[in-house]
Amino acid sequence: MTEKHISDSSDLADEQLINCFIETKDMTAFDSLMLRYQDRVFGFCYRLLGNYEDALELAQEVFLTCFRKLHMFAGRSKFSTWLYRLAVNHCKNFWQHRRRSASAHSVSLDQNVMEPGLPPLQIPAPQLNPREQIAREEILELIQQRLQLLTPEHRQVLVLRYAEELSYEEIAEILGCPVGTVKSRINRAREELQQLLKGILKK
Amino acid sequence: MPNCEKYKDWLDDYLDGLLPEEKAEEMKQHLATCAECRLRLEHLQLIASALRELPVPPTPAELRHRVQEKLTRQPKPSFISLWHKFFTFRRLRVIGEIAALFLVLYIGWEFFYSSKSKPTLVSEVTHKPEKLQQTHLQIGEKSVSEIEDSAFGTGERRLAGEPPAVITAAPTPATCAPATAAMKEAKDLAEPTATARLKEELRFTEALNVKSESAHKPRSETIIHLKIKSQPAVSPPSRPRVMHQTTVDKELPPPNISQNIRAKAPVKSDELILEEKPMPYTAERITTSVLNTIIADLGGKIVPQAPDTLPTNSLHFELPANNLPAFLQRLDSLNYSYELLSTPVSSPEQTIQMEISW
Repeated sequence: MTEKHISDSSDLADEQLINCFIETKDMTAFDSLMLRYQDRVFGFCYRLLGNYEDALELAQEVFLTCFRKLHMFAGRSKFSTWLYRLAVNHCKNFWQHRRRSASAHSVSLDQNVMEPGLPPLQIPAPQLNPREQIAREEILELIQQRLQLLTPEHRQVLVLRYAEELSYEEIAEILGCPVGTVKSRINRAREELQQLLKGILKK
Repeated sequence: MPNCEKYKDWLDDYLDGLLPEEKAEEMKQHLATCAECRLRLEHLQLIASALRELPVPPTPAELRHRVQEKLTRQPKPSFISLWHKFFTFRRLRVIGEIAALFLVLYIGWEFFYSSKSKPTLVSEVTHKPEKLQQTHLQIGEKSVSEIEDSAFGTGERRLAGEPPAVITAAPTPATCAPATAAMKEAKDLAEPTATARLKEELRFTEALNVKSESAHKPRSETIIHLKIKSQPAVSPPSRPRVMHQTTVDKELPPPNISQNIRAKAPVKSDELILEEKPMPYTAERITTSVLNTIIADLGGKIVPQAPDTLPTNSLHFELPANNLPAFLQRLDSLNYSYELLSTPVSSPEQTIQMEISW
C-alpha cells in the first residue's frame, strides 16, 4: 500500500503524504513533500533575507526541522502554513546572528539612503531621475532594495501579505498573534516603506 | 483634510476588496475628490505589486541534495543526547513532583504510624507473627506439650508437682509420628531467632525506661500483672531424643527500673535435654509446671496464697528485678504469647512481685 502511495505521490494530498511518512518513515514521501514546497519555501526565504546563500541555508534548515518534527504536525492548519511558521522561527535566529556578526556592513535606517556611497543600493539621485522618467521596473527594483532596510517584523508581514498573498488570519496563525496585531503591523510596515521611498515615489 | 485619516485606514481593505459596499462607494467618491489619497493609493498599489513581483532566483537543486545528504548522514544519537532527550525539563518536573508526593506520603505515614503505635507497651510485647498463631491453632487439637519437656531443662521434674508415676503408657511412635512432625515444623516456624529475641528485649527495656520515667502515674503498681494469651501445645516425642537449644550469650542493658536495679542480667546458654515424658494433657498443669521451672531457674520463688485469693489459673511469685527480661525471654522462647498488664514501679527492693494468669 505504501509502495502504491509513493509511486504516484504527485496525486496524493499533503495529509496522505505526511501520514505515509509518519507511519513508514519512508524518505520517498518526504521527498515528494519537499519537491512540492521547495520553491515556495526558498522563495519566501529569499524575499525575507534578500540573499541567495542565506536563503538556501534557511530553506535547508526549514526542511530538516520539518523532517524531525513532522510527527508533531497536528493538521489543524494547512501544511504550507506550518512550513511558513517554521521558516519565520528560523528566520529570527538568522537575523539575530546577522545582527551580531555583520554589523560592519549593515545599513542603518537613520542613514540617508539617497546619498551616494551606499554601494549595494546604487540609488540614482532623485533630481537626476524624476519619477516620471524612471521605468516601472526600476521603481520596483528600488522598492525591493528598500524592503531589506525594514525591520524584520515589518518585512515579514509585508512579504507574507503581498508576496505570498496570505490572508490576515493565516498570517496571524503563522506569527502566533491576533489578527488585529497583524493589520496594524502591516500598516506600520507600509508607512515605514513609504518613508524610505519618499524621494522616489513623490510625484 | 481631517477626513483623510479615516480613508487612510480604509485604503488597504479597499485595495484588497475587503471594504463593505457602502464604504467602498464612499471611498471611491473621496478618491475622486482627494488627490493626496489617490497618490497614497497609487503608492500602495506600487508597493504591493513590487512585493508580488520580487524577483526570486530559481530554487537550486542543491537544496534537495543538501537536505537528503544531511538526513542520510544524521548520526546515531549518543547516550548523552538520548539522556538529554529523555530528561527534558518537563519530564524532570513531573518526576520531581511525583518524588515529592511520595516523600510527603511517606513522611505522613511515618508520622501517623509512629504516633499511633508508640504509646502502648502491650502491643509491642504481644506482637506475634500471624503464621505462628495459626500454627498453634492447627496443632492444638492433635498434640500434647513438648514444651513442658523443654521447660524442665535437664529432664528432671523438679517443680512440676506431678510424680512420674502418673505416666500411664507411652504413646507408640506410630501414633505420634504425624503430630511430632507437625510440632517440629511449628517449632521451626515459631522459634524466634536470637536477633529477634534481642530486639524484643531491647524494645521491652526501652519501654520499661519510658515507663519508669513516668512512674509517678497512678497506673503503675507494685505487682506486675502478666496475662498469658495463648500457649503452645505440642506432642510428646515418640522416642527418647536429645535436643540442644542454645541461646545467644549476651549482656542485657540495665533495665533501669530503679536506681537499685541496675545489675546486668547475663543470659546463660541453656542446654535443654528433652526426653520422652508422656504426660496427662491439661493446659493448666503444663503452664504451672513450666512457670514453676522458669521461676526456679531465674532465682524466683512462688508466694503461697490463700486458696480463695487467687483463681486456679494464676500464680503469684517473686523474681529478682534484673531477671524480668530473662523471664519474658523464656516465655518468648517457649512460644507463649502474653500481655503485660501493668508496669513495675521504682522499688527499693531487688525483687519484684509478679502475678501471672492464663
